[in-house]
Amino acid sequence: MPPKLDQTTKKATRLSLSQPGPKKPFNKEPSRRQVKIAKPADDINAVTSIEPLKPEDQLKLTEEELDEPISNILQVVESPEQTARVVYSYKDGSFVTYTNNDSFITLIELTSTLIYRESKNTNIQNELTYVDDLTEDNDKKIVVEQVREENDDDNPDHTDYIDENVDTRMQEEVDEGDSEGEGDFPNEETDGREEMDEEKISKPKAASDSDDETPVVAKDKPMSNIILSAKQRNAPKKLMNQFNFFERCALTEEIILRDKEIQTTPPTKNDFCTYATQWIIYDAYNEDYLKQQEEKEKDKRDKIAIHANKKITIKKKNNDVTEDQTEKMMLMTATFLERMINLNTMDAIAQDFRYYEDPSDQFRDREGTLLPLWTMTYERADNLYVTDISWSPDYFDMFAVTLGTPLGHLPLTDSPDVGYVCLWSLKNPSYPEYINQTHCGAMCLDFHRNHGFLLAVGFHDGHLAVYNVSLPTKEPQYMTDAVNTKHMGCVRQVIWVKDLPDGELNFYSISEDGTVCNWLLMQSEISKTIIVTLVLDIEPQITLGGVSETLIGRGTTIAFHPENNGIYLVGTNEGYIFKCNTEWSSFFMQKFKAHELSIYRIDYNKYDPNIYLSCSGDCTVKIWEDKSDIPLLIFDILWSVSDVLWSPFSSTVFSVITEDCDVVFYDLNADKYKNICRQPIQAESQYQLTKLSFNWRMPVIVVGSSKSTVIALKMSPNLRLIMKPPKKGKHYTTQMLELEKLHKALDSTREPDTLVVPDDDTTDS
Amino acid sequence: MASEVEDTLKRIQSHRGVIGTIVVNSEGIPIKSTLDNSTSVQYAGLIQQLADKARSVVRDLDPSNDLMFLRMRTKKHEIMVAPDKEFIMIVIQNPTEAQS
Repeated sequence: MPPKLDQTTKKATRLSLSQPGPKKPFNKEPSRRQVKIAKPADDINAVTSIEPLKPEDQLKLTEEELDEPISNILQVVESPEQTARVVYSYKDGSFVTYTNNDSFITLIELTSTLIYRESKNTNIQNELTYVDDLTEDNDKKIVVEQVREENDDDNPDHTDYIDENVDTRMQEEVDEGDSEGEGDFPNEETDGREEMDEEKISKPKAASDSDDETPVVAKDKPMSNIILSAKQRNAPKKLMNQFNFFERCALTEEIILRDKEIQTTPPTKNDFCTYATQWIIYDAYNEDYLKQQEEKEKDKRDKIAIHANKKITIKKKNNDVTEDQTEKMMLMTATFLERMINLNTMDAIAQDFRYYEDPSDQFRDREGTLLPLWTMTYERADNLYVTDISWSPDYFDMFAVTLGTPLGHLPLTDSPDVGYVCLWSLKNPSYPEYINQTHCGAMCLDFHRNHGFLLAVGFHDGHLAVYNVSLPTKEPQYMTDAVNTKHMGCVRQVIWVKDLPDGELNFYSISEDGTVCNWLLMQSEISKTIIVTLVLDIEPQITLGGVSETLIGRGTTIAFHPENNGIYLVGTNEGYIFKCNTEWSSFFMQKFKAHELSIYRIDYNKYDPNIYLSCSGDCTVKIWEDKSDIPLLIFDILWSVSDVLWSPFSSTVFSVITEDCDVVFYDLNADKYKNICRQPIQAESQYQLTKLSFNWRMPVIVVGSSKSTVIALKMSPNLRLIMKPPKKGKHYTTQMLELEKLHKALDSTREPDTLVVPDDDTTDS
Repeated sequence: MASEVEDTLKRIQSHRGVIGTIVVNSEGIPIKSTLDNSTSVQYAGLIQQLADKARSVVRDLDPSNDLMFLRMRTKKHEIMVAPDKEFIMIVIQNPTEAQS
């Protein structure tokens, strides 16, 4: 069966090759010849076709006309040269005349499809034509083959039947094929090419029909040979994967490139210029150093701190500190400016304060004058009394005052009981440097001698407080307990004393409840020790239901012996003076009636501690000698004396202020009966002077009044005369000379028997 | 604290002979002034430059030093300038009027 199939396929190919069809290009050639366009290639092809086809619209010519010779002459004519042609020359930028430089002329141009038979191209040409054939004939052959194969499988007898179907013209060729089938291989030389073609055609067909394996196996042998030879001959023509190879291509839409330009908004330009000076660099380094220190501390803190909460609080605190810093700086600058303005406005006074010495003193015998300098008022508390004045031990131009209403005057005022502690500086007389409002009237205060920022303050409700004025807080550092520790009556004076041997700070207070207390500053509180209760051993004693009560002296002032720490003097409201020692609490070294009315101040002489003076509401100032009940001197001032103080500059000078608004100076050396200076302060009703204080360095006194004003006065040279050591002879110190002067002044007043007393005193003390 | 600053400035203004107070921030803008707008702006601008220059003079001489205060005595006034890092306080005073 397989050979038969071969034959049929061969027949089919033959038939397709020789069969004339309308698709073939050759068929048109005869008609072209009629048009007489000479084309040699066409003519040759036309010969092969037996019967020319005539187009319908062809001219019909008679035989004669056809025979008539038509001469066709081929002439060589040179086409006229075109002149006056111009060409644009890019080189010159203008039109130039075109010159033909070609040395040849094309007469005739024919493109032909003829190829030389034995040339290399022939093979390729054949190959190509074969492919063309294949595509055209494929359909027919496949049909034929399929029919054939089906018939072969089912009923082999059908072959004849199919043969009959084939055109009669093909019959002889079938026979021929049969003969060829018998002598298959010998004929290969002559017919090889055709056979190879046929096999190639059949091969894809057979392979695709995988159902019938038999023909493939059978054909295997001859085919492999043929293919080999074909490969050798057609090396360039290589069909790769002929079974399922598709060449597919698609032309994608061309992506058109477009240039698009966008102008962005220009980046902002900043002119930056700075200086690099030495101090900017210095600052930068400093800042960096601080930052580093801070980081180190932070690391340390982080290591220590376990709780996360702690860190947060620390951070918050830092923020507050920075905010405060600016405001603090602002406040400082503002106060600084205020001082400057004051310096400008009060320039004259400041000059006087420092340099003016009253020249008229030279012409007055021993009298002196007082020059009023500044009047300082805290306007917000102008109805309060200045209850105490204390100069700062650190700054000679700063002092503190307490403002309050004394107990006796309280019912007369409608205002609530308020008090202030103010720090004044002579540099800014218009406004206090420090203001602290207290819960009630402040009555007395004292600066600590060694710690100038500690201020002990007594209030008229019996409380005591210690303030640290260097801190921004206005809260007292120490405050007495309202239940247990505070005094029962108004505190009249506080006074710091020498620190205890173990460094603990302590101060004494005298109160109207008749006790003297010692206060010790502990870690967080102050401890109270009642030193003495001022018992007045006098009739009548108060009797309440048979129980007799002792009268208690209402202490008003206290003064410590400048040299002997344990000894102090206490003045009472009843006019008694108690001399006590801190060692004994129930025993008075001395007790006597010194004045008829309340004692306002007791002051030891600055040079001789055996001499002290006291002032009282009974209009007298008395000078006492230690251990004596009889005053050495009595000065009748004719007006209630609010304060008296020895001058720190001269041993014999003391100053007195009266409620009559007079500042009076006495110099025992000059005159024991007449004052050397009387300076009225302000003639105004309900205005009285309350307190007096000497500056420890400048010849200035400050006087407090009942209208919260503080007046600074400068002492003229005569008020502070001191003994000058003689230039020749034995050398005496000023101290000794002053002492001498005082005793000389007092000697005349002393009784002969009391003259011995000073000698005893010296041995005693 | 802030109210204390306010109070102090108010007091300064109430002083005899004080013509005006100006507080200038670090950018040279008057943030508080008792003078009229144009004058304070003029003062602020000019004095800030002067204070900067004065500070740089002081600090160039010794970097650890700093300018604290600047006073200008003029025929008519005295201009007091307290420069700080974050602000400048200016007070204009008439000293002759203050003393009389």
